[in-house]
Amino acid sequence: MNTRRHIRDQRGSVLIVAMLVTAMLALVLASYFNLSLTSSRQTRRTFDRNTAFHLAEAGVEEAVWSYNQTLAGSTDAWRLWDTDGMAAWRRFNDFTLTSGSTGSVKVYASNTAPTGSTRPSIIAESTVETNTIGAATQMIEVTLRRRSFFSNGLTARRTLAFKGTNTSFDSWDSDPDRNPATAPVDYSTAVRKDVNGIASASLDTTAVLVNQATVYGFVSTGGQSPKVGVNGLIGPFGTAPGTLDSTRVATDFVANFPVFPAPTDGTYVSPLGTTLGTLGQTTRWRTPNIKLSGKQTLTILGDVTLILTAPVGTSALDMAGTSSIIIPAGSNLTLYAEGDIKIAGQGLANGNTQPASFKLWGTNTTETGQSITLTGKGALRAVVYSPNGDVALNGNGDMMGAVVARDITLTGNATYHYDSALADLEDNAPYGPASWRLITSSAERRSLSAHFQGW
Amino acid sequence: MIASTLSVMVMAGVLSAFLFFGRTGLAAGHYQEMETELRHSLELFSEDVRMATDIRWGGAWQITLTVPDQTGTIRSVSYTFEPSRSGASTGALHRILEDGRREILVNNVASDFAFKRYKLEQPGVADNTAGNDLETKQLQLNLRTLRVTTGGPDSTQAAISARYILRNKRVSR
Repeated sequence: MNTRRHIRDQRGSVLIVAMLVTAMLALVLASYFNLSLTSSRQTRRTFDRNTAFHLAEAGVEEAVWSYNQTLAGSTDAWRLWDTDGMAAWRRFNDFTLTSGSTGSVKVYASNTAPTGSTRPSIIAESTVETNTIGAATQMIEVTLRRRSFFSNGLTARRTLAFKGTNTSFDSWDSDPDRNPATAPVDYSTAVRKDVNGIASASLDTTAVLVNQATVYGFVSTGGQSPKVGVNGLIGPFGTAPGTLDSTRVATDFVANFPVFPAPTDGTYVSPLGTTLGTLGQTTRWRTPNIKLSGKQTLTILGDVTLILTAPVGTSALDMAGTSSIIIPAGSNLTLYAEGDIKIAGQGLANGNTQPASFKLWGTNTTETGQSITLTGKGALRAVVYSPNGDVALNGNGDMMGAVVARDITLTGNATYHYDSALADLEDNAPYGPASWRLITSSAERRSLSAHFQGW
Repeated sequence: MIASTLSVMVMAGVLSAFLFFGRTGLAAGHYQEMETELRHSLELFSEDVRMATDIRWGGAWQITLTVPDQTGTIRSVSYTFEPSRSGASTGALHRILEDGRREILVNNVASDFAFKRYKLEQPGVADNTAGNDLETKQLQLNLRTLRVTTGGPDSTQAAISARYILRNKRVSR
């Protein structure tokens, strides 16, 4: 009787134990499920944030495109944007994303018509929404500046060669305060620097041939190390001959070399007299070519733009004898030519301190080439941009400015001084980023979000 | 007797199942912890690299970035792998700010940790490894973190980051 009762008392205990075990198993499984779910959500969140990052970048690119289209003369660049006359804003939401996500980016451009050295900014706020975990956002602010083709002293598409035994390269800054109202600084050994560079975009072993020259600065090539002779050097001041300072050589240089067609405006004049332009005035002229010989001179007065219309393969400017082109202090000359240029004789008598007072734009759009020979007597101050031109710099004096060309050759005892103020010369250059920031602080995001309210 | 034997067998099964669940749960927890650490580290690393205006290479275990803050003030941020002082084969990845503040980003990192630096992509060039600071335009982080489980296999998590571009660094001088 007692035994039967004892067994009856224990009935149901198995069920309790089984329920306890099941509950513990359920608890463990729930923990696993929760862990997996959290991990999955974190992964998804990271994926969405990465996607949002790229959307924000795409938004910035759209605005940069519009800025550069405006520079290129397009009147449609901001057509699809909302604008208040100054700023512009637009929402892009035609992105196809996978896994049920939707993405959009709002872009705000601060100033659609910047003037002078004004630097417009672009702010992009992107959002990627996924039903299960909500929205991931990213915000990027990019400040733009006009690029310069002259951020290096000498830039070649193909070969940059020093052929003289005493040729050298260094730099200085003619406008250290970036204030045109203050007097420019002339080159001297007291202000010279060894922190700027020369470059070639060529992948060949002949990209930069320093040979026996002295390069106080940096060298960039498209892939191969520059060639330095036993008496040549690349490095800072004080570097011994025969030294190639490897910390000053980069082998990943790439650059665009856009070719600009010659302007089609300007008052036709032929032949030219002994002066061109008017002091204190901006004038634009066009003429087939210039040929100076004997003691002939051409004096530039005021701010003169001259377009030489001689075609490719013919002489656009030819100087011989003791002829010279004179640019008095305060005047400046911008020359466009697709024909060959030879400045010799007494050369270019530029009375200005800054090389930007004489700019030569080579407009040859073909690979036929354009021969540009600059021979200096005394100090030659010039800025040359000719992506299809072969530039020869000959002389025994100081040459100052910057050169961009297909091939560049320095011969004689030419000492080349790059004016680093030219790194801010914006002529014909597109917009590029001056600074790029991912906005991460919540306070700053809140502040910038004001641009995105209500649309 | 039969009931006792059956009970012991069932209990052994149940206990071993719980042991298995426990170990797996521990490993899963480790993976979760490592993944969280790595995700946070890569996010910080990518932000700093992308905004950096310059880099100073101290070797595969140490780099210093020059990063402007929101006011434009330049500050330096270092990332350093420091081996454990106890002689263990692991170490930790630290993020050290200019004022000396440091944050341990990832613990128990294997000593095959390495930063890698790259140039811009060049056409026809297979190896874009940078040779100096001047030509360094991209950075990558390779690390393996591990957690030791007593009485069980170690949990390891390997991470190879993207090549982040130093967007504010000049292409050439």
